[in-house]
Amino acid sequence: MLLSDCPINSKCEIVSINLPNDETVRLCELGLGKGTKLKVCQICPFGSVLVSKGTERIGLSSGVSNLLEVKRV
Amino acid sequence: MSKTIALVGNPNVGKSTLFNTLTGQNQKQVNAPGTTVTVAKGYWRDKTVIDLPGLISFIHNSIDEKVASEALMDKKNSLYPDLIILLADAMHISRSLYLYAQLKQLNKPIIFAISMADIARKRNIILDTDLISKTISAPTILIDSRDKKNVRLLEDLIYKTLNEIDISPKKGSAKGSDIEDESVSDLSLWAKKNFENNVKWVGQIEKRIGVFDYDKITLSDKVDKVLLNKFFGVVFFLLVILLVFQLSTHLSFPIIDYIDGPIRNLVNSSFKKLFSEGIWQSFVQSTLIETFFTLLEFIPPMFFIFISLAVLEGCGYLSRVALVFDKLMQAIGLEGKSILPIIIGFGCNLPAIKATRVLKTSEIRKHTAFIIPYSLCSARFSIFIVLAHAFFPENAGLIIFLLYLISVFIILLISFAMKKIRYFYNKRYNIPQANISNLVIHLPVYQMPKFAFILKSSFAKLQNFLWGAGRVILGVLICLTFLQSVSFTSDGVVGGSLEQREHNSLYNIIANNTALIFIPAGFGDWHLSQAIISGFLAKEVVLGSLENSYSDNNKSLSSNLQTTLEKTAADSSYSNKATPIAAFSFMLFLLIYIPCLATVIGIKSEFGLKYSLVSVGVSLVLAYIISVLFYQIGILFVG
Repeated sequence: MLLSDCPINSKCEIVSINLPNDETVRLCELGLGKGTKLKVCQICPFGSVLVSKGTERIGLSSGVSNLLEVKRV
Repeated sequence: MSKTIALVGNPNVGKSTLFNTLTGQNQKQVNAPGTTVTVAKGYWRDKTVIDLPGLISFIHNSIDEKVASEALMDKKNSLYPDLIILLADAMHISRSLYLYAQLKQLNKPIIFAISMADIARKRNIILDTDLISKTISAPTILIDSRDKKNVRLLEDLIYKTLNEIDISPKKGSAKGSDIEDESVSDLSLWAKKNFENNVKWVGQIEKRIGVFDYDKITLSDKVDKVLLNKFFGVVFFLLVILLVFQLSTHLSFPIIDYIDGPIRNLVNSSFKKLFSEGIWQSFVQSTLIETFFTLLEFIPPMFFIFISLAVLEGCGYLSRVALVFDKLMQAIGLEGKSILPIIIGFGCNLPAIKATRVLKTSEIRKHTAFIIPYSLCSARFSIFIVLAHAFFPENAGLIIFLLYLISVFIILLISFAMKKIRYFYNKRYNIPQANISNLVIHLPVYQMPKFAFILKSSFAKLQNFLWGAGRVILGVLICLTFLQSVSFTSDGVVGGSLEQREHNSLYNIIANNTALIFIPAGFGDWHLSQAIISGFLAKEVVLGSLENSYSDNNKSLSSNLQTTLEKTAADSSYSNKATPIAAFSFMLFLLIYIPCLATVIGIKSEFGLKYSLVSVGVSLVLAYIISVLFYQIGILFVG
């Protein structure tokens, strides 16, 4: 399933990133690589998603959350 | 030679806050070599401090990241540092460790400063700086960048590290235990090759220092549930903007009224007593005093807008705005936060230009600043109320609403065109396109802004503006006074009485000749062209100029304007039905061409002379084309 489809408060793990290579590298540099565990905290107006990763709170625009495949954990 | 200290770190880790605390008011904005990316340069004791643009990795993804990485790699670069302070956010330490893995290949001394220590403490997150220091082999310190006392510990560490470099240059260098430790000439290439190794290294370090798995719902999370709500997030943002406008106008208007009334009268009458009537009185009154009051009237709204923005940024709300509006703004080539300066532009363009500083990349800042002058600001609004009542008494409200819609439409249109131009330009010159880091935003924890700090930084911004803009406004006003004062009679004699000089002044000659250009747009009359030229200084001046130019008859301004446009239509052999078309064409021109001199100077001081001239040129050409097209098409139907 896509990250954008996950309900609020659900926990998930990134299984694949459907972005061009350069952007996948940047996403990994930002701490969002394959295997990263996230919790969906909030679905914002216009489709952006707020997730938590440990102490971090990360906002992902709808363009990114639609390209991250995740599995529920 | 003075040592240079570079503040390096990911965006939003508090670099600028630390920079302001270290340097106080002793700072300026400089362009990075060969670019228009601005870098803050300041002085702490006898050392130079550079606040480099936010850097996530040496695999740079934007022009700002390129500037930061080149400054750190190139010894010939004027920003090349002797010491690096890598600032890390206590809540997001992994990303900074990743940057550290690359930075240490430079073999430069690095201090690993972990900011937001106060928030970490509140959440009972214990960071063992000794363990981190030993693990990554760099001096490590926990700081709260906004607390001067706390920053003193960092200052001591800076001194100690710089002394170590003086004694033994190699001793201060950062060394890693797990990654090969050679000096790398092109760190970008090295970072690409070693990307996976670096990610693994960060994972290992995280395990050693015990980076925390924190799953509690915090107060920040609860606030986000409300402010970022899918349905009410936008409503809340609009309420915040309304509050900013209300506060800045309610607080600044009485001050402006006082400046423009009693204080202005007092200064004017005092100068009249000091100077007898003549060119000196005219110079002092219309140039020096005008410059002084033009600047003075901008101070209150700009100051309150600066404070409001600093509060919104300081408490962490601005990053959320970026997230909410990201999708909307991406469509026109901007980022979420761009919505803020654009909205402020509908109040006043100048603070909006200054507000583009909240945007992180120079490309987006320039793009946003380019479209701001097309927003219908309050000064234009005040002219349009009078003109709409004069030309369209039955439908004045509708006309103003229409002008607002046109203003928004032009902003969207130009922004979209710029997005396309930027795309092809970047593609042609191999410049990275909009990067993913704009779409992934690490949100800071909500915190109470420190008001002493906000006041200090707002005063510093105001001081920079007054010094920069004041000199240019004074220069332009001197030129204008010269044009108004020097007059030529038909026999070429310079001089005459004050009234004759005003009538035959170079300024009037230029205005009269400019009127010819506006004939195809339907308002080729010297009264209107003079008003347009005066409007270059400030839009508020347009009405004054019109009233002044009709001062020799006793009719109202509305009837004078009607008569003028009827005469212009008749001169071009059109019926009276062409008058409203010409009137709207005139209003369109006033809406689209440059808002005021101060805004142009604001653009110049932020982005350079070339960019401000391009902005002026484009707005003039666009205003002319649109008003001519509107008039010519309009008279096909009614003429």
